[in-house]
Amino acid sequence: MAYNPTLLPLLIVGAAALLAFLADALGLGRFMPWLGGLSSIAAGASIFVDHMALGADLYWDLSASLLGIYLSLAMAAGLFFIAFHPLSRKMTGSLVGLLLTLLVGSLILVSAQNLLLLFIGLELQVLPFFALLAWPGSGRAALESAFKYALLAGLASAQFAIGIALIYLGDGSLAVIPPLGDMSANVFGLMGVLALLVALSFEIAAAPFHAWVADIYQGAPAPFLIFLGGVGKVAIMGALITLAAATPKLEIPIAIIAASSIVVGNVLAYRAGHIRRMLGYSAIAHAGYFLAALAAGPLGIIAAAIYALVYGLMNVGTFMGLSALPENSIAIPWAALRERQPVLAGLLGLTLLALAGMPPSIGFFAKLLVIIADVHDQAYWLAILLALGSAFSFAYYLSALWKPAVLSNPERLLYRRSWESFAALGIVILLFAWLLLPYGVS
Amino acid sequence: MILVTVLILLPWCAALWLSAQKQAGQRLAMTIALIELLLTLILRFAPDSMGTLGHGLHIPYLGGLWTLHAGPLGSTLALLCAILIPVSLAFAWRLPEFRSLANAVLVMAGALFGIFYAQNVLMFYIFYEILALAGAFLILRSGHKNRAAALQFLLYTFVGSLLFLVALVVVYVLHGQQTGVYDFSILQLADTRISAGLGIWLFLGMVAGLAVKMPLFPLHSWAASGYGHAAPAGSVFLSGAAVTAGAYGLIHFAIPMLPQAALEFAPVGIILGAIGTLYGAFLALNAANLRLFAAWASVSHMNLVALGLFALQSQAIHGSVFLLIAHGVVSAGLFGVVSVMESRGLTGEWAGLGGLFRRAPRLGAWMLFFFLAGMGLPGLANFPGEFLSLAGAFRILPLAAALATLGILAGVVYFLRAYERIMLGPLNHTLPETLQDLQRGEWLLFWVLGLLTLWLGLDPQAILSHLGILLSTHSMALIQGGGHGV
Repeated sequence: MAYNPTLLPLLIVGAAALLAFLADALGLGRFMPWLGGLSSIAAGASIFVDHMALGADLYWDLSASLLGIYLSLAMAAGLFFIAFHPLSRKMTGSLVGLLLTLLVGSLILVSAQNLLLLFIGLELQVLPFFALLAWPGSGRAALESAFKYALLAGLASAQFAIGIALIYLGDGSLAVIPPLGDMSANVFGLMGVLALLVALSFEIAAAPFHAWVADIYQGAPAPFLIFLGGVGKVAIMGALITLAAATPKLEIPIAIIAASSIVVGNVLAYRAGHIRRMLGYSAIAHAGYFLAALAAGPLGIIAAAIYALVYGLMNVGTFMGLSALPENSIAIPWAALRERQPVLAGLLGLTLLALAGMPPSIGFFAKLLVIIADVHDQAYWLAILLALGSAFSFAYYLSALWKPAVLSNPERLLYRRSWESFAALGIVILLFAWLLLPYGVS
Repeated sequence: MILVTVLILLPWCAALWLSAQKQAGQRLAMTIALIELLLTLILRFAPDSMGTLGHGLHIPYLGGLWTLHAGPLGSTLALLCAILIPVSLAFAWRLPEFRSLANAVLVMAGALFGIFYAQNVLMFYIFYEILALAGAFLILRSGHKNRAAALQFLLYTFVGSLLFLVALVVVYVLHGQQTGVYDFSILQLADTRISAGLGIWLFLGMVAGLAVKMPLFPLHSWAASGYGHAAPAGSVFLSGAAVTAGAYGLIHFAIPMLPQAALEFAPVGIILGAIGTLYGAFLALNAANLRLFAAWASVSHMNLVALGLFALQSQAIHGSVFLLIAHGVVSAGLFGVVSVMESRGLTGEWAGLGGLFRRAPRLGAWMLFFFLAGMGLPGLANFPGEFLSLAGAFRILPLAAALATLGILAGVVYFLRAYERIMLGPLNHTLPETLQDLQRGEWLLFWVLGLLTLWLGLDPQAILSHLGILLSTHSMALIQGGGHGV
């Protein structure tokens, strides 16, 4: 088989994953986060070098390479971050192996141009979460949330498989961009594409397929939510981008899901009253903002890719901050956190503002792009809905910032010196990375 | 350019520094405030010292974000804002929450300077949002520390300003489609052709964002809880300086971008302003305590400003800009009086006041002075502004202007009534036995504000003569074709 540059990132990460799985047996587990992080960076670099490369079934187009590089770097950052977290003490090698498998699946999801490959990517990135969410060392609630996730993700996968079957029935091709017409050319194809949309909407928790998200955000261990929100969901968003770019007919259903997500997510998040549940519900609203971009034609595709990237960044920041808190905290004990980890507290506050869309953080510019895309596509109602939704979101994000919460025992806050430098880097990225955004798209 | 950049960023750096310190940092904050005052004075009276106004931070499709320009209107309002920073800090000097208050005021000041010198509309918007957030923080952390009031303020301003953003993006996209130039600079956007039907919707969106800060009549209800719950020393800045941002945005950005729609909206705006003037006056008449009284009085005056603005007539706009500045000074005086009374342990509930003049004659005299200025006594600051806005608006919509005049009349009633309740009449027995009159520092502050008020009232030409240039270089040139003229 000839050398194929499009496969290189997958091969690097896959090899590192196999090595990591073996490492526990060899007693080398504690080095694995570093190896995994470095191999993720290497994968990101190879995507950067080979961007716009077209392979047999993989295509690192603009949005795929943008998201691919982001996913690799986010995974690297996450791995370096959890190397200092107590959860990673047991079976470090397997943990890193699972996370790298997740990265393989995510990279396939953003770049695949073939339905079967998309399915493989989906499975590769969903299966590790079954184990990760219930990782030894986390509590009973985590077990429950892992079970819920397994059930619903299984359902979504089944839905996805049905969708593939229907599309194949329709035009006899498994390509995302079939040789003749598009996937939705006939009635089976249309049903199939809708089934794919529903399955992926399940995974990014867009309303009305959102019921699982708050329980999982509340129950799962915070460090793994870095990967669920910052890597897993972003990869699914990448798959949605591929799908929507290939099938213009999807714009209307996507717009409907987007609108309902924005409304439902904001209302539920306002009523949540628990920091993790609030973040879970607000993730629905963010899925809505992302889909609102996706419903806006070619410019919307670019805006959606950037929104996915920024959303991932903000999630990584949020859950890095929350990782320092005890798992069962209902609100953020700002005074204690500022005392022990001032920079991390700053990062957490900044990400909450960025999630709300406060300028000049990167979250604002992502939303601005979405609004521009919607207005450009003359979907004024979506732009106005987005504006109202994100104005309303200030109510709950700032409540989380303002609510006075005390921690009975400040010793329960984790303290890691090295996390401070992570947090400083995160603050710089969130505040200034928008300067680079226009160069990312052109 | 460097001078303005320093002007904008210095208070933010100071706020960052202050928030990391343990002690209150009065001296540092006051030093920064005085440096800012000096800088704005230089920029106002020697605009050439600004140097070249290059395009900074140029970003493809967004334009030069850090593009600054100095017009006479922006510089004058910046000067007003810079005067109010040290005043507000001085009134807050002994408050336990001085540090939070100073932080919020400094951040707001930086944002305001950004607003007044911004040429890029997106940059204006970014500063406008920061201003709103810092304002909410001020309400949250000072005075009653009321979260609901802060949230209400925030929701009002953010819903409005995001609608402003959507309208702005529509103009931006239209301009891009018509010319191929995608840029948020006002010089570009003011050149967009917009159909009348769409234009009025866009203008409504912009008014929602900008007028909510003034606050124009149906969008005003945050003002009572906001001013009523923040520390009066903070309200000095909030009501005197922060509200000018909305009016400035209307004059400098919204009206030039959509002159035709502004003209169509004019009658509605005038009527809303008139209703607001009257309504604010009645609410002030009926206010439950002194803080709310000052808040509603300020709302009533700001609606008169809006009335003058929307009249789109040279005389009325002159008057309304003048009133905007005068209102800043007078409102600082009013809230300053409230602040002094609260520092003496007086809550400002009417039931606990009465006959105060006998205990604190100096305070009583200054209160009378600012009340007289507030009710528009000729010779004091508000009068020229009120007169000119009403006279201008009268030519456009006589009935609405007459309605607003009734609001001024009601102003005389509510100010005198409040004065009578506080200062005159029999001595209230619940008043403490020993009540300190004005101290030297407070006395000095009132003299500064008082002299400013007197100067504005006696020599309005000092400001008005500059406004002639300012409006012709800003919006009048664009309005004159379609506006209501001289």
